[in-house]
Parts: sequence; structure tokens; C-alpha cells
Amino acid sequence: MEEAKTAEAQEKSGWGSGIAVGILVGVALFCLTYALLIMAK
Amino acid sequence: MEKDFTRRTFIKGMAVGTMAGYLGAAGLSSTVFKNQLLPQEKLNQVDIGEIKALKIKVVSETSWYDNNVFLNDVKGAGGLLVNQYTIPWTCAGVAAGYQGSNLGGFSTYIEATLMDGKVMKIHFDTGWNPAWMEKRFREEGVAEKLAKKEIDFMVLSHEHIDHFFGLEATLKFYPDIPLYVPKGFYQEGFDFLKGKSFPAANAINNIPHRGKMTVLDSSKVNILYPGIALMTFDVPIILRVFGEQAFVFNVKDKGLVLVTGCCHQGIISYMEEVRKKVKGGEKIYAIEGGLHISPFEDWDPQYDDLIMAFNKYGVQKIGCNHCTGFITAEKMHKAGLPVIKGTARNMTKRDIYLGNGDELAIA
Repeated sequence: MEEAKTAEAQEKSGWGSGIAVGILVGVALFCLTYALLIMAK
Repeated sequence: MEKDFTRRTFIKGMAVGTMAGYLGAAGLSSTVFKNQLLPQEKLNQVDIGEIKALKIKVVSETSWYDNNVFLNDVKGAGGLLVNQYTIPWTCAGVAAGYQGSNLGGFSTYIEATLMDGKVMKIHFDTGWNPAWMEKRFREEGVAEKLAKKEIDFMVLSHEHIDHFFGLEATLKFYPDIPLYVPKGFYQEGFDFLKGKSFPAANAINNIPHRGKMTVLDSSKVNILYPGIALMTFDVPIILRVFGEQAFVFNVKDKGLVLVTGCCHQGIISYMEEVRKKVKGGEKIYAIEGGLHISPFEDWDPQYDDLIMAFNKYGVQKIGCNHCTGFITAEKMHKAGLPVIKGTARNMTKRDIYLGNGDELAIA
């Protein structure tokens, strides 16, 4: 029971931190492509 | 095992987060932060100056008299892409024509009063049938002004038969008239200007042009005098013609006035280009000339959209004629657009738009 709770908490924590980091990476990627496009002009 | 499980969910979350972050950033940058992030297009770049007043006289807008005869000439030669210098245009036996010829022509006479009071006299296009054009030049006093060299220059809107093949009717009065042509004239056009005839197309010119000729391109707004400019468009046109130019005048306290020959560049494209490139382009006061919508009196539902689009530009006077088509003028009247009526004389069949001998004055 305790193990199941821990596993569920770890899964939630994995998703949460993954999404948070992912958003940062996504925004950074967009900024990079935007900068490349501006430079290409 | 527990760590792996966490890592797997972390990677899944990061994949979802990356997509969300990228799309979210794209969405925000193109909407909320659009003005900060996207470089603004520079508008109203060229100040062409101002004139005091403008007078536009329709010398001839009747380019041919029987649509069926004209279309049969084109079909018989092989279609709309055939070289106009090789088509045997019908010059006899047309009941509706001028002295039996189906050929008429397009020409406009313009007087632009500069701010210092000097009046610039402009001969815009020289028509098709030299006999008809000479008659109209004489009737409207253009021939006399040409003979006295009172006209400052001639502008050819494009190389088409009905705007150009009547060249001899101008050169017989003023062979050294200064001339502006758009980039895109074919060698036949330059040869015709030098006095070469094309008998197969009934295009006869025995008088070489001896004046200064300037070829204008589309790289910039070409300011001829303060308040008088020409815009050239790189546009392929039927009957193997390329390039057309049209006037932009800026009349003090009124706004811009666009004067066209045939407007093969498209009237909406023309107005959009003027808005982008000419100072004051947001206020197009008037348009005069051919709008090239239904020259053969045909109609396509997409033209309705074109007429509706006119409202966006707030044009206060539309002095259309020629290749605009009667059916277009009718629809414009019905749509409440300010189309100026004419007097239906000198071979113009209807009074629904400005016809031969009619005038539009702006001051």
C-alpha cells in the first residue's frame, strides 16, 4: 500500500517536473527558431 | 526500478511540456506580443509632392466596337497568348465600327496644375486606329496642342494594340514628343516606335519617334514632377505583352488620384501598392480609367467580391471606363459606389460611365 502510494507520488512528480522543464525547453526552442528567422532575413 | 519509472514519466512530461511551450510561445508572439516582435511593414515611404488641380479628359475609351469581331480575330489567330503583332485585326466590314473598322483606341488627355501654377499637359496612350484617333485628337484639341508642342510628354501605359498601335496619329503632329514607356516592351514595340510597320496586324507607322524616350521599371515610385508619379508593374498580359504603368497624382486637400490605362495589374493590387509605397496612400480620393474587370461583358461571381472590396478604400470618385465593362459599372452603381456617369457620345454606347469627350476635374 505504502509502496503504491510512493509510486503514484513519484509518477505525479515525474510528470510535473517533466512538463515544467519541457515548457522551458519549448519556449527556448521557439526563441531560437525566431532568432534564426530574424537573422535569415 | 522506482527511479526509472520516475525518469520515464519525466521524459513523457517534458515531451508534452516542450510542445506546449513551443506552441504557447508561438501563439503568444503572434497575437499578444505581435506588435513588439514582428517587424512592422514600412508604409507611406515615398512623398511624391502635391499638385493644385487635375483635369482628366477621356479622348477615346472605345478600343473596339464589336466584341464578337475582336474575339473572333483572337480565336482565329490561335488564342489569347498569340503575339499581337501577328494577328490580322479586322479593319473593314464591321457595321458597328468606325468607317467599317472594328479598331478604335484608348487615349486620355491630362492637365495637372503644379503648386507654382505651371500646367503640365500629358498625352496618355495613343490609341489603335490612326484614323479614329486623329479624328478624336482633332475634336478634343489634342492635335492642335501636339502640333504646337504644348504637350509636355506622352506616357504609354503598356504595349497593347489599343493603347499603342495608333502611334502614327500622335507622331504626325509631334514626332519628337518626350516619351515614357514601362519596362517590358518587346523588340517589335521599339521597332514600331522607330517607324517599322507590321502589315499582318494592320499596324502601320511610317513616322519614327525622334524624341527622348525613358523606360521606367518597377523598382521604385517614379516621380516625374512634384505631385505626379508613375508606378510600373511587372505583369504578364494577354496577346504577349509584359508590364504596365499607371499614374498617381496627389491633389492638395483631396488626396491621391490614380489614373490607369487598362490596369492589368489589378485594381485592388494597384491600390494596395499605392497604400504601401506612397505617402498619403491611405486616402485614395479618385480613380480614373480602365479597371480591367469585364472587358468582354462577361461576369464571374468572384468579381462581386472585387466590387465589395472597393468599400475598404473609401474612394470618393470612380471615373471608370474602357475595359471596366458596362456590366461592372452597373454592378458598381447598384453597390452604391461613386461611379461618375458620362454623356454617351462620340461612339461611347452608354452613359453608365465616363465616355469619349467626358471630363473629370479635381481641385
